[in-house]
Amino acid sequence: MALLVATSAPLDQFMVTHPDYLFGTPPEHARVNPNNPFILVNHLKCAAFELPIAEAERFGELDVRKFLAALDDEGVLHHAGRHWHWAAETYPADHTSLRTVTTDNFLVIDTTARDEKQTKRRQIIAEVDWGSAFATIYPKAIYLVESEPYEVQELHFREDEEKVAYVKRVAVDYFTDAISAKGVWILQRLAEGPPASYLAEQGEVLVAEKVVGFKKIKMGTLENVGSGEVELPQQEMQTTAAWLTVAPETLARVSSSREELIDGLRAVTYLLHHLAPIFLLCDIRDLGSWLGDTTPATSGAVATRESTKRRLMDGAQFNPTIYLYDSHAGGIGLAEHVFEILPDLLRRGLDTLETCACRDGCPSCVGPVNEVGRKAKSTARSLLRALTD
Amino acid sequence: MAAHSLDDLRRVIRRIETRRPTRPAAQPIEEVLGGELVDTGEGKLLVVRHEFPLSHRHGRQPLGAVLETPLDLLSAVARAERPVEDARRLLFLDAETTGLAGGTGTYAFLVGAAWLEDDRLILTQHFMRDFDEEPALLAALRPLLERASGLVTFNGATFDLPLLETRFLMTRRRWPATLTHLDLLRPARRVWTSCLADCRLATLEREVVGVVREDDIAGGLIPALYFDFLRSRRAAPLGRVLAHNRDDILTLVGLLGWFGKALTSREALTAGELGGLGRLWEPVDVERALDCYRAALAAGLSGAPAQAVRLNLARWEKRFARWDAACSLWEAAARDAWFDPRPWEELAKFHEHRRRDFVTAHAVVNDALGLAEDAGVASSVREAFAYRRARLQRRLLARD
Repeated sequence: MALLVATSAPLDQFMVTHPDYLFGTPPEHARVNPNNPFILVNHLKCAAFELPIAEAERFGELDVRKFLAALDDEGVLHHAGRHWHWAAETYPADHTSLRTVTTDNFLVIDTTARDEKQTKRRQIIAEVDWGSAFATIYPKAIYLVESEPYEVQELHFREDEEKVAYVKRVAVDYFTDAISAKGVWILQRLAEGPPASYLAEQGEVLVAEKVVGFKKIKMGTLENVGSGEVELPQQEMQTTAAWLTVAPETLARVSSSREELIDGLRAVTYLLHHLAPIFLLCDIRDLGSWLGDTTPATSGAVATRESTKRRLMDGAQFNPTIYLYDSHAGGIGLAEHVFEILPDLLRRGLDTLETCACRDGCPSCVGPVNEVGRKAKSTARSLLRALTD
Repeated sequence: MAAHSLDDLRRVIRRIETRRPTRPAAQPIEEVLGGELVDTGEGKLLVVRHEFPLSHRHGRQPLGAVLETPLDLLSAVARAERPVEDARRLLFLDAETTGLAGGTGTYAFLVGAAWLEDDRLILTQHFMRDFDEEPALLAALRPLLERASGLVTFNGATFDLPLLETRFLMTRRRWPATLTHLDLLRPARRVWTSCLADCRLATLEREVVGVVREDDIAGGLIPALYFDFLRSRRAAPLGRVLAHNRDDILTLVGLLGWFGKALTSREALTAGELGGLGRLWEPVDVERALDCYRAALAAGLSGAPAQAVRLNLARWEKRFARWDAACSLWEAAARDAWFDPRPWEELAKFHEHRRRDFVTAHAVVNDALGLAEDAGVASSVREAFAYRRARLQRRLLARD
């Protein structure tokens, strides 16, 4: 027997209100995109180490000669006798992670303990991958290891440095939550959905994120008890995404207030993002979401939620767009799947919203009221009805 | 691969599509490195052949010393699975590889082999000019392996031979698994661990065989030099790699000769080597091992190695109930500049339990405790002595 104690997360709430989903769908749908160039290149390296790759060989359906030639050019492979041979001293599988796409990891080193000579004893207590490092181990962040709080003292992230975060045990009653500014820009449109009350598209995007500060949140009560600023470089990533732009006439039917619409769309974004993992069988962190627009803004200029809202409200045109993107550089196939199931996802979203017992929004459906606004739930309901017509 | 974004990757791919690098015409390798291209029937490869008369000295001894080596004895002390026999059918082997990590993606691009033929040592080096010459290289090795009755390597048991075996396997060839094998690293470790800084072949060559190499290349740089050659086709830098491989094999021959001499006569051995030789003999012939230990101490072995030899020797003397010999060793060990509780404990046990001389035993323990406190040793050691002293005091009182 297995027991599921549902939290307030939309995913869990969906499960307990729709048990038929849990028992009625076939299990497993594990996703990896072998054609993600990052994954592919690493696989080819490991493959060549095990056995030289013949010129005529294919990788599944894929013709990989270009990639092999690129690796040859980089000096990792060497072409001889109609085969590509491994031509480096290292063991490629050592540098290939099965869990993350990129391999630069940060070591989290505890420097609390000192030995008799008062020199710092360094003990590695965790490893954080490049993608999430800036959002979790920025200076002054509280990093929890086995529920013990550690404060980050220094973060070494420059290219010529060893990637480490030095932390120290502290006794605090709060944890920290990063505040980041973000931006999503469309690089290439690869697919377009059939005409509907919205335009669904799928393709490649550039996601930029910059951690600009953090909130201190009291444990237990979750009160906001302070904040701080952080100076960290902007991280950029090319990945795949699915996005949805609501037609102006649909928006006009729902509300005439841009602010209300933005709040409602934010609520829909939250809901779709939290619900999508159930269809993709991925973790919520494997996806990212963003409410922006398709107006080409200054590429690379990130903005916080507030300034994005302001920009959307004051913009000459109003074509807000919900982005759901793959959090793994290059994409692992999640966005393509989101694009395919979008109509279904919207229906499920409406369903979840309508079965949720709250009045104005809660973490189980559209997000907490004080984050999305008081009218967000009803606007989101109208929007979802219009989108699922 | 350094590409961090899709654009980087695309850029690299585009660059290649427009330009396939053409290899610069280079001077033929056989002209640069010497040797000749040999057709094995499975392709060509470069073979460099050297011959040395057996009177040739590589270090202090002539190469011919190999012929006097008691191979059965050496096999036994080296713990070879089966004894190697006829010195004239030995094949000395050393491979240079594309990586030190091992695994199927590591190639042996240069394999040097040497054997005795009449009054000469023949040394051939087999070099593949590119990965596609590996079949030729392995084909060239096969007759050498088939002719040999045993292999001699340094660290071959864990590196060279498994790697070559993998190469044979990867090219669908049978590895001649019946060969006996003598890996000189094992006996070398027994002999020199305590008296040399390390047991690398280069160290042994300098300290034991007596050769100082000029301009030797560090083993760790060899893979990179080969990769450079694959790209640039400039063979000249590889000259040092071939020289390194050749010298390694000559040292292997010299080392085998050293073992042969040391096993038959103890002349000209240092005190440290005598101690090491004792360790080599120990699993095979204890009395000869003990003779070596005694000779090492008589030759003035000092410091930590001497202490280890004394205690080990005393352990055996105790086992054979040669108490006088054991006691004098323990007493010598107890006088060592560094306080060592072990000989004190042995002496205390001997006086208390064997001779039942509680007065002397008590005096020994008292002295030991005093020294232990001065030396600031771990409290558990002091407690053990204190416990022993308390018991001795009780026994002394009971007797009165």
